[in-house]
Amino acid sequence: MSDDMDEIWDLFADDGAQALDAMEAALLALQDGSAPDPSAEIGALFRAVHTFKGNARVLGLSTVENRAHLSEDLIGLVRDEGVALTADILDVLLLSCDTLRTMLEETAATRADVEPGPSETLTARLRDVIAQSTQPDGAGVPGSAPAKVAAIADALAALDTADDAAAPDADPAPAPAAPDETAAPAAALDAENAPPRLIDDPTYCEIFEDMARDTIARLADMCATDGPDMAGAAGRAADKLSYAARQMGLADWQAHIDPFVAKARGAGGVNADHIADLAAGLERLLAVGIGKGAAPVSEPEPDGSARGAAQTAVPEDWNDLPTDPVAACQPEPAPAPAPAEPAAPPAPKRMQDPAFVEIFDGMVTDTIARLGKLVEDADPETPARAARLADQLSYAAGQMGLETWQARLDPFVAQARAGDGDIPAAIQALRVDLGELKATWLRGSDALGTRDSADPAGECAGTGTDPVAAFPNSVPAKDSVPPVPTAVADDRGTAQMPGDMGHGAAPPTAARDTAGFLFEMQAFYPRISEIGLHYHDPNGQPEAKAQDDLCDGLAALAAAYGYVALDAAADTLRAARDAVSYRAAELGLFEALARIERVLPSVPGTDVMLPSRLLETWCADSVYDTLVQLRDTLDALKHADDRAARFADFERQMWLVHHACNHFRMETAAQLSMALLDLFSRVMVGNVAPDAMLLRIARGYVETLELVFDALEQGDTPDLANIDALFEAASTACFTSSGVVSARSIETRLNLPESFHRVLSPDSVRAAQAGIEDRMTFYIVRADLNRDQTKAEAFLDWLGLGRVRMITNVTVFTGDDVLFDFLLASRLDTTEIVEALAMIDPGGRDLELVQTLVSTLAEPPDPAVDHPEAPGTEPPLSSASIASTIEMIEMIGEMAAGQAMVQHMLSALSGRDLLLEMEMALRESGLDLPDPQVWRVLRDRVEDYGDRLVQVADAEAQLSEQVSWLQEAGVALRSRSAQALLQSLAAFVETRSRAMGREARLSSEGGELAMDQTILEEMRTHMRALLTMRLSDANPPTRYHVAIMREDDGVIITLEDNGGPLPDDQVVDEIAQDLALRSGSLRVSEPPTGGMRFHLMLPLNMMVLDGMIVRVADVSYVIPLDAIQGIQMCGRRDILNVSAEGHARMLRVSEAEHIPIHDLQGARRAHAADPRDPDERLYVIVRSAARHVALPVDELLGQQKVLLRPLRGVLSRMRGLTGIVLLAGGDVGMVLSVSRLEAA
Amino acid sequence: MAHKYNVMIVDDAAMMRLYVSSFIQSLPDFKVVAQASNGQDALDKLETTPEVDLILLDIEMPVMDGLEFLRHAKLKTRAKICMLSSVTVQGSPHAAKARELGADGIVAKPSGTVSHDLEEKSGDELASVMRSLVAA
Repeated sequence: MSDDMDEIWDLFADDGAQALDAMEAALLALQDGSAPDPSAEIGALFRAVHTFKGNARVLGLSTVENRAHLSEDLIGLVRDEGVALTADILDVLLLSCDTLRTMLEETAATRADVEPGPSETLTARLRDVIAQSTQPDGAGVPGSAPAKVAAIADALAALDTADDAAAPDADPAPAPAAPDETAAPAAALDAENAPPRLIDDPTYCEIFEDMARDTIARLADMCATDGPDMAGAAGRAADKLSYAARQMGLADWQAHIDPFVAKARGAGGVNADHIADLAAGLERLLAVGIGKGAAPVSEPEPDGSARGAAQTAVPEDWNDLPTDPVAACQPEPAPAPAPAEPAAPPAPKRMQDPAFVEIFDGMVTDTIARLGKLVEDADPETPARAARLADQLSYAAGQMGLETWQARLDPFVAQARAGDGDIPAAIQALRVDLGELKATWLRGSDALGTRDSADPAGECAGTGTDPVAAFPNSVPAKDSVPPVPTAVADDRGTAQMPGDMGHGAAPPTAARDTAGFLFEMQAFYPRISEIGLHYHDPNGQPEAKAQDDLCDGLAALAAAYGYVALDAAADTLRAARDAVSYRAAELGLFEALARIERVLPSVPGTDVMLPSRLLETWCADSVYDTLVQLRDTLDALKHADDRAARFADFERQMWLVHHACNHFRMETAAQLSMALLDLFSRVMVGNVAPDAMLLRIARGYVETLELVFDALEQGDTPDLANIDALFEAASTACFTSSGVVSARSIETRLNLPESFHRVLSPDSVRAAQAGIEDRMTFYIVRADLNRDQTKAEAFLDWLGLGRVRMITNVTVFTGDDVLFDFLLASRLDTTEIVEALAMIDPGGRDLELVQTLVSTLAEPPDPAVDHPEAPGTEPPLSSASIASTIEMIEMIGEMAAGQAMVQHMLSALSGRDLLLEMEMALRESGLDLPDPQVWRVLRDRVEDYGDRLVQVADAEAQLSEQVSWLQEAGVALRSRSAQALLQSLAAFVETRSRAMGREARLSSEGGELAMDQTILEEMRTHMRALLTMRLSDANPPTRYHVAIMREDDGVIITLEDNGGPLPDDQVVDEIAQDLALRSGSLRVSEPPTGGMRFHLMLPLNMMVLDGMIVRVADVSYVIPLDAIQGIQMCGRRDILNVSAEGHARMLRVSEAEHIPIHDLQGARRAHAADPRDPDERLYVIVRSAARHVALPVDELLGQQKVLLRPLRGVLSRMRGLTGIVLLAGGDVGMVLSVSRLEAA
Repeated sequence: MAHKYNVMIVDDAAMMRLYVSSFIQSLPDFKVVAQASNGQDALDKLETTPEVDLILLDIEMPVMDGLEFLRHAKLKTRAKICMLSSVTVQGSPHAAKARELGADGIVAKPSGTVSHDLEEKSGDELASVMRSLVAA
């Protein structure tokens, strides 16, 4: 390898320059708008940077790779995520291009990474632009992309880490060892050990050919221009090509060029004729082909003689030479033994992939045509060639799962190889049968031997024309197509020739009427759903006839379109006569339809319900069951003997979860399911049990998803942080001989210090695992590589000797010094390591053995078993934890009330003048005051006590503040965005309406509000009930709009739709009763513009409220401070009776304004009617909706922050109240709902 | 001489092809019989070089990318196909997609470090994966 390093660096420079040229050209074309196809230009731009990045990575140029990677990410956002290509992005990419070019020049010259510092500005700009582009509401980012762009943003953070980690690598990077040029000739003597010849390498041939053509062109130019230094320039050009020819081992080229070079250098020089001769000779050599004119040679001996000649045989027949000079350089491959057939891969779904189907279709066409040509040009090789063609198609059929094709092809292969019988006739028969198979395939049947009279293969076989040419347009015999059951089909005309991918059937064709099929299917979905609901209804079973009719309809449609898988699914559905089997059959049907949808050439408009969406919805509805099964399967995979069968279960369950995740647009979770499936697939190929680490990730995945789906079910926003963490774990997992290993397991096994956490790359993990398995000892060596260059190089050389294995290194900052901690593995013991370091650094100033780590071979404990929740991760709130937070907050509320009481008492105590009280008491008792000296002593003590009491009161006040903060924090913990509720309602409407064969949308406003999750949960329940009622209506709305508003003491949610009038429905009454029990309300109205409007109100609760506490009679009320407009004392003269009964009274608050009085104790305590009322009374003026109301109170007790709690039991029937609170001293206060106060 | 398995390298980066081919030539049991700069090129070369045992395949390429080539190759050759991933993420979406399409193996593209051990660090894995694939 080291011999090739020079070439690799040269190629790095050449490739890099080309890539950057391409990058610049693309950017400029995009900038000035001259790019004919911008998307193609962006694709080329991406590949250019991608290539550059990959090359830098190969050479360990971390800083260069990092900058290129950032640029690639930014371009990736434009290419893949729909981010608009702005002038800003173009500018920063052009800057990046210039910077990378500078870096390329520097690294190509120094063969070491660049300093990161000078390009930090570029890095910062790139990150800024990426960050702007990845804003969820950024201008350039479509709404569908945030998950991916967020992933890129996450990756940026990872790049930061990688950048930092790479820094120590970059700084001390020594140039790779120079190739040992003297060693090459010696090695060439031994044919067995001869280094690979460049002439055998097509890349070199390509490069050399380019060089030769370039030289010829330049020589021609020289002749034409006849410049003053023509001879010198020609000599130099020729010498360069001669050198290249020598490197390539092309003696014939050298023999032609070297005399010219010698002459050019000589006294006589060369003239234009000489140059023209040289060019003509080079042309001839090129025409012959590189390496074909004469035997190539190896590196010449020092004396100039060539060795190793005649290693490439000259073909006997030059006409047989490949015309492609590159191909000519390729050695004839040695026949390889037939490799063993691979273990059956985990069921690739190639038949579901339209690209595979199309490729196979093309292969069939091609094979039939080639077989026909073989018959026409029959020669002795015909049987072997036909066998190869048939064998290849048989292999492809096997890959596609088409066993019947193989059954037909394999006997022919055997016959042709043996040369038995009439091979041309057998070939013709095979062509006919292949045509038959394809025609059958088109009809959706895999049975062989049911030839159709219209069989194009038979027809073509007789006429000698290509039998497959007719296939794409062939139509089954009309009488074989059952009548299409709907008017849509009539409009469509003749049923087209679809196939069924699920049974190895027909390829997609452009002529297929895809929209027709999907439209027709829509009519079945409500019936499918309805029958399923009957099965789940304990009081009712579906009518067998209805189910049979449904399946008959499906079967007819399947026959009309030739979808055999749909026909089979219909049969299964027909046979399902209980809830469980029907549900399973429903899944099978949706899967079959989704497969059909995938192979349809185009997706119709958005108005058509897509089966894939139904499948996702089905999977989402059943995800809990699937996760339970998945958990069992994981357990079984570890122990089961029938691992293959269990893995099949696993694969299926993972796909179902994948669909469910897609239903909720959780891209990372969906990808994680596929990533895990991929990891398990690799393990299962070896038929071994998945190891603990893999199982742990998978179990974590299952547990996290249970919590995520639980949160979604609750209308809550799921916490996906753990999904991201698991995805990272799955991503950094790597395979070793002992199974899957992760960075974390290495950290645990080696008990690595914190500084080495999260820095191990997969390569490092693999190296560390190998060290552990080899029972090596691990060391951390701290090195100062900046102080003494000689020592640094010696240390790095020592690392390269092989006695220690470097796992990774991290940067350590100590004061002004930048040091590196190297993690090493070695069989050397501690003493030997210390000695080795002492040899390099006798003074011990720059190298220090910091730590010796003894590894353990034992698996780290399985946290999934020992600690169900992975450490360091916060699971989303489950139902149980929600309940516990309520208890916790209520407890804090009680603490706050207690604190308020204590504070009140302490305040009262500290305000007392005990000396005065004692003096008064003595005087009242007729006792003499104590002696002044005694009194002074007493006064000192009492004053001291009073001071301490004040200190305690101050401390208590501080504690009260903290408890209040804790209370508010606890409430905030339960606070959730209303957006989660609105999103779930929108999804609910969409999926339910589709399941019923309808299309409806829900828009919303108020998602920015935050409120207690209990309120959101109550709302969700009521809204889903209302929506279900409206969706089930005979004339269901197609548009819904939900608005959430928050008032002082309640939450208002309004649902409007465009449906018909509300029939008498029990649902509305039930909701109204339920809301009333919670001091809420439901109002239903018919807006003049049509449709229905539902107005739900729920009182606020579980919130911290600033309230004024007032007493009326013996009841304490809390009035929200926000609602209080004023407090004033009024007399009888200010009261105005406005009704004959004297119940309606007004309070004059000014000369011009009277406001209604609302008596909190009811009319019986009305001012005028109650003789106990004093002349003067306190009134609290509150704002209720748009008006003011006066509340007569007996006493103002003070202000307090209180925790609002819902009304329960008999209290829930009280009107005009929002909730209750716990007051200082333990009393219960009623919180007034000022918006619902009734005027007296 | 021991039998050598035939390898095709498909990568649009000439340097990467050279790097990988140089490494493979240092292995006693493999030899590079074809190189291609994109999927279409590789398909063409498969026609003239049918006896390929193993294909090392890049993903991001012009003309025809690795995933598209993979579909063709799964049907047109018995060669084992190993994806060369530019990211060191075995569980990446690309890897999952490649796996779904039938890739036999996935290995990270090599990456060098300051410690001169290009072969040691990245070659071991590549060689190990290559041997396990052809032995399967």
